[in-house]
Amino acid sequence: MRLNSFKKGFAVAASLVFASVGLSAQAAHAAPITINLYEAIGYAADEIKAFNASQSTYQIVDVGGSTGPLLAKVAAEGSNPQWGLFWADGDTWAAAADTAGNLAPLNFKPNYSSLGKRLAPKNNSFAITGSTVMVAGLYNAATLPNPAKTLKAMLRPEYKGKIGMNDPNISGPTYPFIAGLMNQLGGEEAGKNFLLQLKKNGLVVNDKNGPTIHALEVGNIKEGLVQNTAALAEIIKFTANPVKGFTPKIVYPGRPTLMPSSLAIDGKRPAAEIAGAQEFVKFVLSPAGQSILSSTDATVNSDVLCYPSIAGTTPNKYVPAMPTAYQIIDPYTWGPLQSEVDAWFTANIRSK
Amino acid sequence: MASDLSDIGVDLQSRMPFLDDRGRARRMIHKIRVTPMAVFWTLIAFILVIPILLFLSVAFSPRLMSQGHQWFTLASFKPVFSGEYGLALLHSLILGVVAAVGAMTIALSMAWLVLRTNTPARILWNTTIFALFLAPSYLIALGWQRLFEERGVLEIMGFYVEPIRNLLYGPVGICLVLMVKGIPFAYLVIANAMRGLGEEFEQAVRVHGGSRFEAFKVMASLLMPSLFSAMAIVFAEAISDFGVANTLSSVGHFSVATYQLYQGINSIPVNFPVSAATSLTLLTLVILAILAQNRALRGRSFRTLSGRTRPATQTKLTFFGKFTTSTYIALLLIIALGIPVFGAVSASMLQGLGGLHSHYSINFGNYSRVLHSRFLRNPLIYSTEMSLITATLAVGLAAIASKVLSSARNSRSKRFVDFFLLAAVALPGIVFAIGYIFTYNLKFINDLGLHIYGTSFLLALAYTANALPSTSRSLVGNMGQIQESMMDAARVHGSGAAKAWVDVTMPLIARPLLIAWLLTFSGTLLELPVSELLYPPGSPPVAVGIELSLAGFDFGGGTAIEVLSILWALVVVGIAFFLFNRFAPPGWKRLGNLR
Repeated sequence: MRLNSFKKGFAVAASLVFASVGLSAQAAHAAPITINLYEAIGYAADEIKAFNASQSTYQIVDVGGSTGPLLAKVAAEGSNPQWGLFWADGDTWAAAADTAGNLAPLNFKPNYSSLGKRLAPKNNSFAITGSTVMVAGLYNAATLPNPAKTLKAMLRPEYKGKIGMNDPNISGPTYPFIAGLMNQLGGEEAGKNFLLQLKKNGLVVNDKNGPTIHALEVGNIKEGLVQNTAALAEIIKFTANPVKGFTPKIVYPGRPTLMPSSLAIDGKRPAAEIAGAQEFVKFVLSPAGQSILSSTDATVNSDVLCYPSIAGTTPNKYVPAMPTAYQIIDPYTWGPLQSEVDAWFTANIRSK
Repeated sequence: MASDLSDIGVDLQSRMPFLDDRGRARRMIHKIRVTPMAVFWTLIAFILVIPILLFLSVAFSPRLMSQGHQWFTLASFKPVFSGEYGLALLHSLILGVVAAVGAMTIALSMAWLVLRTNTPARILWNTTIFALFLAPSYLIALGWQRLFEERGVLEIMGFYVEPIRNLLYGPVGICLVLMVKGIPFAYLVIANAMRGLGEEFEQAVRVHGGSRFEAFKVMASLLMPSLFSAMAIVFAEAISDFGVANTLSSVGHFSVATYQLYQGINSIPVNFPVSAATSLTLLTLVILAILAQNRALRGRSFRTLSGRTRPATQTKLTFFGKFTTSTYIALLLIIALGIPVFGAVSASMLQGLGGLHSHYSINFGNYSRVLHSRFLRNPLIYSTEMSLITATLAVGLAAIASKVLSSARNSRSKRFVDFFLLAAVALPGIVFAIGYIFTYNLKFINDLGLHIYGTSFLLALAYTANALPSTSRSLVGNMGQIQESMMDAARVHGSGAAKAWVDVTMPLIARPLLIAWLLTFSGTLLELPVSELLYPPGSPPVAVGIELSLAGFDFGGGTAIEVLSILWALVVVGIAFFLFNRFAPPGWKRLGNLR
């Protein structure tokens, strides 16, 4: 092929590609105003359905996924974000977005419970929709009658090789656990020293909640440090279908960290979309939105097993009492340390 | 040309108003010829080259894609050049080479047994090869774990498996699973080429006094392009794998290069520059693989497929031969397919398996429940539609790409396509998808009125680009065997290029094309990383549905959806083969047929 005709062919083919795709693109924005909700919350689809049915001005569109890939998607969108709302476990990502000036603060004061008030950001830059505990010590009471109830206890010889946890590089909720550990032990270095001692005592590191819980089921470990909702799902499963020799129970070693679920609004969207997003957040935090927590079947959707953040909300029937002692960490302080701590974990704890 | 454009419904002038103002430009359009190759190169540029380059550029220039403040920096390479990462890179290299050589060797032996002998178990292999493609690595790893874990099935049965378990949860296990995953890819590439080889060359060796082994060696030499193709693709797949390596490395903590890449993506804030720097090192390994391939094949011709190629006759095995070869095939199938099936069954149907206790029961509760799940019906329909479009697009492009790749000249265009196709394999899907967002969410593209990010159109393009490497590789062996003189003869006798291709080339590669189409369809149906990042809002593909089920700790439900989707893909494969055998012209079916 001659170079000239190749260049011409290239130019026309490129025009064709863009021209034809442009046709389909024009229909993308039509009334009602559509707002993309990037979410990693199991009951978000029910909230969207109820909100869309309750009014006709806005249409929330569900973009569900896991927290990690969704945050990667947002980061890749960079200065041209396509999300209107983001809803996921944790608040370090929301604090980072707030610090970068990417969020539209709530234009109303949510009716937070006393717990919700402690978890919510002071500048009202995002909403707290509930909280879970990082971590719960899930253990098999049939084989381990005396689980490690304190952080110190986990270092005793009797628990050598019996404690398992997740990798913060793979499991999103595990970083708040590690940050909380550092917070309660007096600082980053103290937390790192504790983890090193735990490793010396045979700590088993798995990817995330599922593999850690499975390691407990098969007896590879005796106590797994996992998100409390994952632990509760396991207890619910085996309470419904009991199995001899496996009685999962929960203990909270030390002062576990409360990890909020955060719902944030993209401040770079058009004003009409931001207004719609505000309405959606209002709906989620309203009695109608909150009722979904108690009416959803927790056996197939464990995300409703959270502690509500709004006053007057009835929690799901499977939600147990809160741990007697817990802590709340500042996402604006601990969030920026995550990359460094995760890399340290890989080099010092995960590796042999 | 203008009338041509309006014929296909494209109003070019309204999309590009500046053309109205320039009569010269309009006159130029009238002179332009759109050639198939120009369209091909344009698509390659837009679906492969630009997204990959934009992602990799972030390693040097984070600011270019709004991922940092620096226009130029080498800081993102710092973690990549740490001693630890060097070790992980070495691990990946070894894993890739062993998996590639192992998968190629097994696939070659299987292709010979299935196509050139009357071993009874070949029917078993032919009917299950697509199931091998569809077995997700998650189920393969799960199956192995369920068998060998502490108080797992084998221990419950009284076997002492601790030494094997220690091997499995480390490099040996990882290599084994990656090899098993690579066998179907390597098999299709090699078998397609072997089908077109005929028997003349082996007969020539035998007539001249050569032994059966020497005849096999000649056949293997003639298959060199496909053998290297098979190894290259398994190697690239293996070094870009993260899931299998990470699942099975929990005890051995055997680090692989992709771990660093995922670490960058999972951190808050997301660190794309480090991931891009890691990707560049993976690409370096791919370049080494391509160099090795080129060096091995340089200056040799492997063109054996012509209109006179006769299908090979089958070697008649003795009873002992039939028994041993069938045992070999059955064993391989048990390992490659039986174990993931067991993983799926244990996760979706069996209550109480996996070390908790010695009794278990089978029930279909998870299946009946997910039939009404919002994660199954609509997502599966959507994924099926997208897979049909993708398979058709990808096979069309792959036919051209494989033609370029198999050209006798080691041209620049050939090296270019070769590199970018393998680069697309070596980069994990999530990286590829991020490259797509970088490219098609650019503000200036939106300002042109092009909003394709978040549409099914872009997802189909990304799926196509993702599938193109394996689809092209599965065809390159056949394309490399076609004697170009046949096309020349058709052209001399007055056929146009397209007609010559349909009349001459198509009959020779119809079956490989069908297999490549099915391979792409099956691979796309359950594709996750690209789906997760690029699906249009409100239309999740089935892989995302499975992921969301698993994320909610509904392991039984998620696995049940996965199994139902695999069964659906097998139904489509069955229908496609039925239609081909029933309606394709007899000439199309002759080459590559077993009989």
